[in-house]
Amino acid sequence: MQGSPGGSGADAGAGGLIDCDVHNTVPRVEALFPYLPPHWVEHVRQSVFKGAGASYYPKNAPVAARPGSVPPDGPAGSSLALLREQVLDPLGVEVAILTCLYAIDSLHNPEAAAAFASAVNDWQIAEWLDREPRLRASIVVPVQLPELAAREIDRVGDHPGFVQVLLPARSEHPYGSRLFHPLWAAIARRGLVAGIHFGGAPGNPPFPSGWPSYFFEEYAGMAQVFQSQLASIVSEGVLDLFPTTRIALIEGGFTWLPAFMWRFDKEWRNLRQLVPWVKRAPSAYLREHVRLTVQPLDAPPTTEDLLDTIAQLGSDELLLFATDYPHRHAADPLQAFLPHLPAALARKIRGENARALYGLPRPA
Amino acid sequence: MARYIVATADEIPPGGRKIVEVAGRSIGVFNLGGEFFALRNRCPHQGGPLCEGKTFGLLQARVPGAIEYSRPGEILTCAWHGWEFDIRTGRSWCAPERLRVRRYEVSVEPGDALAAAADAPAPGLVRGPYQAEPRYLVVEIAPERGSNRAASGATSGHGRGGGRRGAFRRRGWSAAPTRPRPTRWRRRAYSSSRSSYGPPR
Repeated sequence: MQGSPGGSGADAGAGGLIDCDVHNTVPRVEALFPYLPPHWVEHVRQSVFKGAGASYYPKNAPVAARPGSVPPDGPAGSSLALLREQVLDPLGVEVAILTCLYAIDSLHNPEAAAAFASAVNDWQIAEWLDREPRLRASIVVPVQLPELAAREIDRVGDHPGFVQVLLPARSEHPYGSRLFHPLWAAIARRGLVAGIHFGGAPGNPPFPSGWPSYFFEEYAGMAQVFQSQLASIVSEGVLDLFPTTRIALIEGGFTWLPAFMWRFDKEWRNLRQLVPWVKRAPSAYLREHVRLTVQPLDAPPTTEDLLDTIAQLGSDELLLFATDYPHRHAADPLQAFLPHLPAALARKIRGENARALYGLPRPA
Repeated sequence: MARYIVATADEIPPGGRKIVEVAGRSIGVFNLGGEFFALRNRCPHQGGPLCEGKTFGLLQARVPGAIEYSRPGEILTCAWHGWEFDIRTGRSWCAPERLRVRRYEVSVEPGDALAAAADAPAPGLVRGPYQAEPRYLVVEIAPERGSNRAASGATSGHGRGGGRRGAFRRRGWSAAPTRPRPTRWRRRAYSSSRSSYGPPR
């Protein structure tokens, strides 16, 4: 089975399967009441404010929710029982990393942003982490307020269930900006991964060229946002100031990365005098510090193209298995991608790369 | 090893340079605070006229904003793409072990000694009679590996016609015949071989 070209990758090796992108959705604002200060509960009861939006995806778009993932009493992704039934049990997931997309970044009231972020994190501890040992979670933060975000990271960052801080890919300022250094310092202090995830609601357009008209454009064009974040993080020296930083790019695709690294390296040779703290070729920083989830896959036309692109990444340690539940990218996530890969690479993507990234223990 | 007299020492003041053609090569001779250095005037990146580029100091920083500026005037940036080279060593900043420009030994010698020496240098660009003062700059040029171009006197590698050398050319971007000494750059670029998934070498 080892090394055979077809059919080997899906179940290669004994290493456990680690799903690096599973969404847990706050079903409705009332679910946060037990975790909110009383005056915010009162505020929600007496106003039309219903908390932040919970999803970047049109509810009925085919990718938004796989069949059967919508429980009777809430939106897709709000049921732990369904998550067990549809992902954890049938795929044999050893660990799944929760990525809660509660849009704290859309809240312009700073006290509300901080209070709702704390409530969502306490809700994650009580209703997900405490109930299911296979889960780890991402800290939701008011990223638009880096000092408050750092405070929230310090508040819950030592909980063993939290392995990551979720940063929406779209931000008010690029994440390398010095405005965000307190946030990076807190992430490094608590030994967490910075998980940069598709989407975001910062108030400015998803494209630097302006507002797109259709969800289609935004969804297909998000790679440029991820690229700009990487350009910023490397160029503004985040990885030099905080050398233990680990970054996961989630739901951003990865086939754009080789071309981006070529260009990034090329311009560094010309222009590195402008950023003398960037001491190595940018691609060397990226291969050391950045990992990427595989779903949604960019779907190169042929398997050969896919394998060429993976080879161009220049490392077999960059890719992370993910289902992106409850979003649907493949009828069977294990068969969509891994069987096309050499067994050793598939084994790394299934779990070894994520185990190293998130510091997860080896299975007994 | 051939030696060529390329200038009088007072022709090139500190911070100055002179680009000379000797033995079929274009060579830049630089004066850094009274010490002389000579580099091939052809960037190992794409063959650009490296020695025509601007000089700058060495910019370093441990972390953002903590800029340390040293060795003003000792870093040469290629006129075409701005890649940086250390005039003292010929090494590039971006890949110092792999990407260097050829450098030549320069000595400063009195003219009367030159004229009397058994291995008297070829006249190069400066004609005799040589006197004790001013002193003369003598560049030593070894024959290139796998090539007898040193004897041919041909001039190349200078100006726009010399572009697209090295890595791109070897990959078939140009129909011109392959040079005997391929550039060092990109030899160890990561493999496109499908069976090799190792980390970058």
